[in-house]
Amino acid sequence: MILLKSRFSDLKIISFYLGKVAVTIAIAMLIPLGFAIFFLEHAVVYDFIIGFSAAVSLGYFLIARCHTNDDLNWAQGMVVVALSWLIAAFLGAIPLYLSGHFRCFLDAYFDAMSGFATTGLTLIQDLDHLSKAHNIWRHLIMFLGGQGIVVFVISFLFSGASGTLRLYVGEARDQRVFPNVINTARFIWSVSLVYFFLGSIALMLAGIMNGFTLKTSLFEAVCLFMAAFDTGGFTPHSQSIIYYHSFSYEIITIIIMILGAINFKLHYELWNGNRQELTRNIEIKTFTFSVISIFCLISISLANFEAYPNYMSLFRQGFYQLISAHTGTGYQTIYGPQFLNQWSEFSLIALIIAMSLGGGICSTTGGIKMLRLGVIYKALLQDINRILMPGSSVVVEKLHHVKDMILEDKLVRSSLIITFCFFFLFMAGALIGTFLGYPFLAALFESTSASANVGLSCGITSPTMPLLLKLTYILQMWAGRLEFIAVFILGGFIIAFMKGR
Amino acid sequence: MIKYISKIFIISAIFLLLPRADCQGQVSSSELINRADEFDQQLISYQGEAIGEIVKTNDYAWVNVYDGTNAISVHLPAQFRGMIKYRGSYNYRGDELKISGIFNRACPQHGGIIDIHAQAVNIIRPGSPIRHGVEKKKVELSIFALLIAFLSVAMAVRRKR
Repeated sequence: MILLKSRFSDLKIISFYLGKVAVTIAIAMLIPLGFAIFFLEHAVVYDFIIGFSAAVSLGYFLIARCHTNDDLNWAQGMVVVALSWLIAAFLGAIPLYLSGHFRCFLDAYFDAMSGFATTGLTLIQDLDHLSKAHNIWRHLIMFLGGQGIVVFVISFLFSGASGTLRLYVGEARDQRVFPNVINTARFIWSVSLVYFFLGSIALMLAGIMNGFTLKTSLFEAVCLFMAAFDTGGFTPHSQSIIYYHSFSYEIITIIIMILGAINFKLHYELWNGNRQELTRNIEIKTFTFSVISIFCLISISLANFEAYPNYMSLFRQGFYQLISAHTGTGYQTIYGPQFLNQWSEFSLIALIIAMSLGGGICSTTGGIKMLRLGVIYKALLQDINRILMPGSSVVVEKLHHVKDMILEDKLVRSSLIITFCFFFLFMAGALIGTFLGYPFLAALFESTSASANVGLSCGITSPTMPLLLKLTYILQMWAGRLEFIAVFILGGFIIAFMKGR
Repeated sequence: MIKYISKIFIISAIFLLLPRADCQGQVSSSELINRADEFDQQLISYQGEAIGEIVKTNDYAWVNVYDGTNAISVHLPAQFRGMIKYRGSYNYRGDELKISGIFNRACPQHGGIIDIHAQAVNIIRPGSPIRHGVEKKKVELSIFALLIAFLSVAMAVRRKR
């Protein structure tokens, strides 16, 4: 039953906030525009002028026509968030489409959504001849999307509006580092920028060791960092990480991917010297257990299947793909079709499980996430204890996530609902893929990758794939990134508006 | 004449009898990736454009060769490195290379990746700089879009006042 009552005044306030999001995207486009000028890519400058102008026009038109001093309520906040991502992807796709590297605008939109949602699946053609400015834009939208588009807007365009909490929560961030949302958003940006400098320097040194020039090393480092820390998975080259032929690149990107998968609240604790949190936190414990157990399964399966000629190769390939999958990054050191041709079905299933789990809550990863998994495990443990204990005893289960918490039914319920929604989304995409003629396992692999915003591909995602599948994956990336609630509320809002309630 | 025929006969016999890797002829990147087992450890011929940076190792180098569908990593002795002048990027069309070498489905030497260990490299077509002309249509659209953007900002500023 829908209890929303949509009015035109709702549309006005929603449009006003969407205008602000569009202006933010316009501001972000100035960065690749600067790169185009710096790298003397004159023909590319116009792509970004057109994109920038479109975003400014839309943004200021909405701000001017729908100006309001009213604050957002919960439903409006959620609708703003859900629509923000659709509009941001539309505006972000304009310069990508103008690059001439996409078959149609939908393909560019697919890549923009994949970037903002930090998925990493791509339909771009001839990536190796793409301009540096377009490449920076692809990676920058990943960086913005990873922090959260709305977090970006909150950080820079709001000053104390109380509606910011609704926007922040709507963007699948149900934890705050500080009581104030604006301070939390700014902290997220500070953490990211500090790691940005450290990670880029490490990757730049790896590039120089590889024999790259300083300029090239820096460019590659900046792109790779943005996509790795935000667990996105774009690279400036069609071969993903294979291109670099470097163990150093693999090690550094593994560290950055793991850092990106850690909860920002945990980063805050670690920055404040609370190192004990590393061994006590339920998310870290669950992640460690999950990585070790899935890696054992993958290794045994790949060894039995004789996929690799020696244990070193097996470890290097198996572990890299696993970390990439588990953190939701999508960097690959093997070609997509090799998953189907060279890996056993069992190892593929293990990788699909890793993709579905993701990293920490309030991190840049997608998927079910570690806290929810830990909560479900604790709830199961509690129920087993209840059965084993005498009827009159009270069973209390505790968990540690920054502070000690008692396991409440409310937390278990919300964790199970989101987990169920993810399973539904994985299966729906897999069934559509199977309906369109792909083998079920391959379809499930790609569907899970899109829904959990991972970006690993077994070869299905390509410019020639059916239109229905492109639309399905766009929807999955969007819904998966926002963790459903904002999307459901948008659906309810539209239905209520149509019915005139 | 008999001497000449016998020479041809002996040379042919040597070629026929000597153990050698099967040469699979020219193959595409898709074939190599999708039918990797079939080509594993075989002598193959692969053709494509050299793209990106050359990764230097001690006596060898890595060059990525793109055939229009995928790029495959080619491991080649350092002496071939100097002959590749242009590598594909936004500004350049890379040299078109023809590689003969041993294909590895999961190279034991290089961490299990797909690669080709080159034995011979030939430049089929030299690369060249790419001229990216500014499209008149885009310039016109930019001016028009900037004008609309300016009007929108002006409208918003006016409304705020």
